[in-house]
Amino acid sequence: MNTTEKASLKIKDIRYWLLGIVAGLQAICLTLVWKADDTGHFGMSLLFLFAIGSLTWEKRDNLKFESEVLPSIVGIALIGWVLWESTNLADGNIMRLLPFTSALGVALLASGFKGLKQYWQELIILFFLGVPSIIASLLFDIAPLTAKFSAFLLHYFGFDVVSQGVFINLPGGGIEVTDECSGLDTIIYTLSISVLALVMFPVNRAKRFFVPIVAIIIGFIINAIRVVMLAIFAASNKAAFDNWHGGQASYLYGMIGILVFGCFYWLLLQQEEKAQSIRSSD
Amino acid sequence: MNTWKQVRIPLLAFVFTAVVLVLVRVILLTAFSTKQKNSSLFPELTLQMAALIEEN
Repeated sequence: MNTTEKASLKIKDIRYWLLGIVAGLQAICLTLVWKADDTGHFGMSLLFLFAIGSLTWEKRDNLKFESEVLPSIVGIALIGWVLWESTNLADGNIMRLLPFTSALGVALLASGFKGLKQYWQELIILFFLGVPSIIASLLFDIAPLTAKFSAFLLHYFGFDVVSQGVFINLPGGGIEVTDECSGLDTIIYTLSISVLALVMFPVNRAKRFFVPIVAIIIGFIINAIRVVMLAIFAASNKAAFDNWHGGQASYLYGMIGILVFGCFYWLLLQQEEKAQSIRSSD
Repeated sequence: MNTWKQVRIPLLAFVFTAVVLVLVRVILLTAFSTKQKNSSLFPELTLQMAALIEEN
């Protein structure tokens, strides 16, 4: 078989077209996140895309690419919406919705409604990459809760703290816990990482329910510690407060949250392995 | 059914072309807006120029 024949075979193979479409769509999504200057979400998107690539690569030989007319039309409509929003350089909530919508569109185009279950892992991972943050930002305001818990931590550490709504006051100064400081991003990041871990390295069915809850609690506590630090800096050292407030420093706490969750999940996996080895030896 | 199979590859090729065109546009717009950001090194240039004109 010569090179021309090989190229002709590749053009007739729909897998290459689908791969090109999905790669192009995800490149568009990444470019939009880059343009929005959302470094944390950009890093998470890269991580999740690598995970999805790895999952899809493992099952590439077992996938069925048979789609009917109706699912293809729905898939093209979804892709069309993604392209339209991308042309308008969507940002904010719509930007976070684009990776999941485009993957759903391509999955429908590739395998139809019946074949969607082949991609349930990839779709769940992409769903948790963006959709929970949209729902949470629209429905929940956890800033008062974060302020209360941080004030409780300060009181526990022996500070003379006064808390009122979202304000935390110390003798030398105080802070206001705004939406950006409420820790919703850190919580969503640890939650989505927990879903990624559950999909890629599954644990016992009974423990599956608790893993996302632990992730949410870890995210919340790590952010509360950050708010405590900021309150202390605001009262004692303004320069340190400016350095640690916003910008790259805030991502550090997200990373710490993910690391703590990683350690927790690693211990859980170790426990599972031990239990399995005991069961197999019996 | 056979007609659908024949139509499918040109349809995918069409979608692929649209995706590539939008990707190029998004990349160009992103690069362009970065240049705009860089050129805002003198954010108060217009104000300074207006002040100079008024002085003269």
